[in-house]
Amino acid sequence: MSSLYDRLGGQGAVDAAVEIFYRKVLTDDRISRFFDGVDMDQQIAKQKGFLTMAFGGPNNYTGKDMREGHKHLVAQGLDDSHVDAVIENLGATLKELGVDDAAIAEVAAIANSVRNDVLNR
Amino acid sequence: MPSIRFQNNSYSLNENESVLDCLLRHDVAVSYSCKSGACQACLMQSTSPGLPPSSQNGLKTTMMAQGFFLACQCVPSSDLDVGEADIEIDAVIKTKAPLNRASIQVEIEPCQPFDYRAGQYIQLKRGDGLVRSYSIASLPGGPLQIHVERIDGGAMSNWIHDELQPGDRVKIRGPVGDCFYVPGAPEQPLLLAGTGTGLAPLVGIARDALENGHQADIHLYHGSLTRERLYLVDELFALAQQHPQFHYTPCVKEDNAEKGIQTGDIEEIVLSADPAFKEWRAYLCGNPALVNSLRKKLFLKGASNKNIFSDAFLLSHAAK
Repeated sequence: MSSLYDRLGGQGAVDAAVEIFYRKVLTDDRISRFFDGVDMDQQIAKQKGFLTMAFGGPNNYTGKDMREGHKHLVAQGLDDSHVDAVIENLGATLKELGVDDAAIAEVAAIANSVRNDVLNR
Repeated sequence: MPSIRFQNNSYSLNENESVLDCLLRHDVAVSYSCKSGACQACLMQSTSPGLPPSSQNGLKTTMMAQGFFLACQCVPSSDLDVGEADIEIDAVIKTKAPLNRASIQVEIEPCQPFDYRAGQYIQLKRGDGLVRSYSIASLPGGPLQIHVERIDGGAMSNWIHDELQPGDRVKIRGPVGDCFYVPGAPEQPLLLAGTGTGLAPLVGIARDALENGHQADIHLYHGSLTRERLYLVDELFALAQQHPQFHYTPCVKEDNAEKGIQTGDIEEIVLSADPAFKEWRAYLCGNPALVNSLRKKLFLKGASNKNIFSDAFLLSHAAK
């Protein structure tokens, strides 16, 4: 059985998803403030890294990176509801790209696995 | 096995080894992060032919054209010179001419061959070491043209306006920046928008696109507070006469009755040009607030981020 990353379409799927996903989070009133004032190129590069990870692809994310990278956001009030919103946007993005519910659930589970690190707890 | 040259040292690559892994194996301090071609922290530049296409995946076309690549994704099959060149060259001031009450055009002749794309910028260095960036409005072949607005209290701009004379020598560095025209996709509409001397790179990009036979519409929007702060108005209307695909829309904030000049907010005027900007390529230059806001709004309307090039003109902290 091929990996989730391969079934989703690998790097090509990440490239197809990243702009749709980024538009969703930028226009989601629940979370858009966390993305204000961040350089778009950098943000898209980071989100490619995140999507690659969530799609089960190659990545070097560590719990420490996740904690460091979100510390300032936790200080601004980042909590479970915001992580839920991101995962919801991720699911909606994949749905738009025609990904089936089972694979979306797998992606959501991987994204969920870093929740505690992201929220620094 | 091929080898790579970096900062005057040569390193031999192992089988299937990336440039990044090779440098790290030799304890060379280079930055990197994800090692999967996503984060771009390991971006490097090479002038050698034969960069593997996979090492440029996800980069903007303007960056590819300059030989940028991702070291972690680069497994070369031939020798490669890598690194970043940062050279400073002598240049002579040729002419100074007023553009409007606040800005002048300065022509600068580099003393040695200087390869650049219109829309990129140079760093101009005064004898005492003061450095400022200026975008290039000209096409390669003649002297470099830059537009210099007098900034209240600005050390460099006041010196250029008041003291710098034709015949004087300066140092220049560069060119820098990825906000320039890349030939190809001649059917892609171009959006050029900016304020103040943001017109300099935009004029350069428009000239470059026309020179390269860009077929699709090229829309140039130049915004300023008042009519008197616009410049090159007659020249750009004349350019639009010569090239049916080129459209010039000067925009001012305050009332004016002049034919061909729009009144209103440049951002709203630009955004009304198309429902989605899906297939467009956009170049945004000048005031950072406008550049960043327009960039985000174009992206949200449907433009792809890789088709949006921008150059926000940041005032130097020293310019007080």
